[in-house]
Amino acid sequence: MLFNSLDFAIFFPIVFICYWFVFNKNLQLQNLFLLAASYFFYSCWDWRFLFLLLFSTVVNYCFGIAINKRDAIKKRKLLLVIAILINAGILAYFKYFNFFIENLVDVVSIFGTKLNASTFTILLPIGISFYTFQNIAYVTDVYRKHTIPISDFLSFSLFIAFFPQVTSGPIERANHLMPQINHNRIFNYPLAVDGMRMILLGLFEKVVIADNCGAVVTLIYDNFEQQSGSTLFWNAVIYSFQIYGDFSGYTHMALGAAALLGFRLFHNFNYPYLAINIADFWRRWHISFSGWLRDYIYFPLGGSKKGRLIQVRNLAIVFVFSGIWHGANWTFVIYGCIHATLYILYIFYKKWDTSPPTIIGNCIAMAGTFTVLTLARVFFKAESVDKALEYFSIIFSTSLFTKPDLSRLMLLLLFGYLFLEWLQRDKKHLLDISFIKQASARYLIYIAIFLSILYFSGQSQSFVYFKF
Amino acid sequence: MRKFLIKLNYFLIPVVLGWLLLEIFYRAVPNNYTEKNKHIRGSYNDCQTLILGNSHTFYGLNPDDFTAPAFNISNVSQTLFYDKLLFEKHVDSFAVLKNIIIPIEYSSLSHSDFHPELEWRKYFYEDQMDLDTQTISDFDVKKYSLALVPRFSLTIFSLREYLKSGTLVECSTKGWRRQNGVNELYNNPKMAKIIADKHEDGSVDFRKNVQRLKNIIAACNKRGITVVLVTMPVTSNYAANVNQQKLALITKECSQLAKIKNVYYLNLFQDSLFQDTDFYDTDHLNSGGAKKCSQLLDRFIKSINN
Repeated sequence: MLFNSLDFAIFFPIVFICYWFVFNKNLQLQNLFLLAASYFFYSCWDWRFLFLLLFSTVVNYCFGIAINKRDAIKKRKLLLVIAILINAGILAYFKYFNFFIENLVDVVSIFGTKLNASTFTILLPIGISFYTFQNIAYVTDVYRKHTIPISDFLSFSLFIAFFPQVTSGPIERANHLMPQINHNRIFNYPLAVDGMRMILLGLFEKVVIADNCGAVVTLIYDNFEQQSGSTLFWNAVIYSFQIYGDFSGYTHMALGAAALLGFRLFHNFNYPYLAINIADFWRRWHISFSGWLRDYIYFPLGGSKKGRLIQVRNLAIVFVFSGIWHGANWTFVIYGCIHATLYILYIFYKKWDTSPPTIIGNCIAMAGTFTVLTLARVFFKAESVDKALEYFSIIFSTSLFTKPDLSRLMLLLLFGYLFLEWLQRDKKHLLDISFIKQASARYLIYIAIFLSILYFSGQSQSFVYFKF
Repeated sequence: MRKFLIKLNYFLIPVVLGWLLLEIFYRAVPNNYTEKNKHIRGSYNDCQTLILGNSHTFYGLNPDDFTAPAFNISNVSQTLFYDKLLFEKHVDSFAVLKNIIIPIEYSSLSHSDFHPELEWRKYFYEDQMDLDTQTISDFDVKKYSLALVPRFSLTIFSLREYLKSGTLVECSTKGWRRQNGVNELYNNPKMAKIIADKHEDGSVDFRKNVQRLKNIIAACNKRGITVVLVTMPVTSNYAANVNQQKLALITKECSQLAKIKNVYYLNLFQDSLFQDTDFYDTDHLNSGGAKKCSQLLDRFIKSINN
């Protein structure tokens, strides 16, 4: 059930009405209803994976309590390690088993041995990467005593399965979401209005931007060998907008749906393409994920406190891990390596360059960061490393200086959208237009967006981040 | 909450009203689906040749140019999946059906059943041509509302067409759609490449569609109906841009099928009889080309029937 589907357009109002008008008298009932709705939502993708979600919930619930009961640090640590291994094991099996086997066979064959290992067709349970990370964060936080363990199984189940964020995040923390689950929720008008705005914005980003960009990108990628370098370069730019519109659109719809139910989820995006360097980008892009990497990998490894060399090592580990998180393919490993390299170079550059930023300097930095990240995304999109290299060989040929065979109007509109983001950069999201005092002007904007969603809606495509 | 719901209704009420109007529009205004479904029933008693297929036959074969009564049930993007369903639905109602014409185009045999871009059509086949595609769940809301089926831009286009010409019906009572002249915008080398690329699905897995053809052929043989497989003509520009190996495989497959009793294959793909001026666009005949093609097929059918 996609957020931008008719099914969800029917499902959500039913949930909203029952939630606020039928089950509003009793918090436990309201949570139970939300949990049932969440499980129904999740099982619409593939009901079999609901059992995996349940298993994951039970395991982490038990480990959370078990860790908290132990005082001895060794025992706590042991339990934490077991919990992490179980979580990581499930993720590794569903996501990386075939990748591991294929590469093992390749490595062994280098030494002249033929390994007769076969791979399986393993379906990837939707949202597994997201809820597994949320679970790992929870048990780790309990171990660190950053959060108290959740004794109410119903609340914990809802924390893991809450339907607006179970499939693609934001990756929540117990400290942030649990108090909201455990407190009586009163309908909050400004929050609900903001929720509606975010749903509208999310739909626009997904249906108008991402889906239409996706149609162009697919057409060109399918025959990229026959395209000019300039076409492929601008196609990569369009892909950058596709993936941003797709993921940011999903997140805004998730945040909007949650807000209508009285929840505030983490903001996952903060105008990432206005980033002036790679570090800035990671503070703005998939914030809940980069925050997770920081708190549960980078800091435990020592962060930047153990010297420059250790910091470089830690950054390399974090970004390679982040690349692999996206999928079991060497292209993602390289994608992670590129980000690691850029980040490490930036750290050294930052130390050397102490001049104060200027507006022009920032604009150039913004364009440069966007271009570099766009080129890195060639690996993100490509089926294989060979294909990505072939793509690059065409981009960096003399045909880069020819006229691109792409709609210039589309590119203009996309950069126009970016300009609007720049104008709204101090607001929570692009459609945070509460500063417009005239209600009629606000309504006109909503209607224009709504009509553009209807009219320009492209061929519906699945959310890119669902496969992660 | 009250304030929120009232304000929400400012948006929802116009949306619901708009949806209702569009639903009425789709239900009340006749279109190619409803017209073909109506007129095919009128041709049950005298139709001797039934023309199936997609836009190539929809624009390219005019039943009026056939000597014996004929009916064209083809439609834009109609795949062999729908051809088979339509054939099965109507075949036993025809009193004197002697021939069926099935076009085999470049993408016909490899076409997957449900191309996302064409997905919306299945709802119209179900609702307006009474087909049971067995692909729509009872829980699918689009099954109950045609206004929710096509992309909104397509609905706006249909509304504009309707307001401009007063009808959505593009075909004659025999099911043929006329396209006059040559559209330079669509009939040129650049467009030929784009269209050929669009038709390329990268697959040479013909099994599913060949099986469908075999099922149709078997049903025809039982009823003494002759099957004419035809590859419709295209412009030289289009022909030059398709994968020649795949094309050879398609021709080979059709020739194999033509070895079955009462099955004939006519390959007009690059037939010299057709000039580029016979085409409205890169791969569709205009009315002049359709006349040539229909008469050619009529002669071919007469020759095999004799």
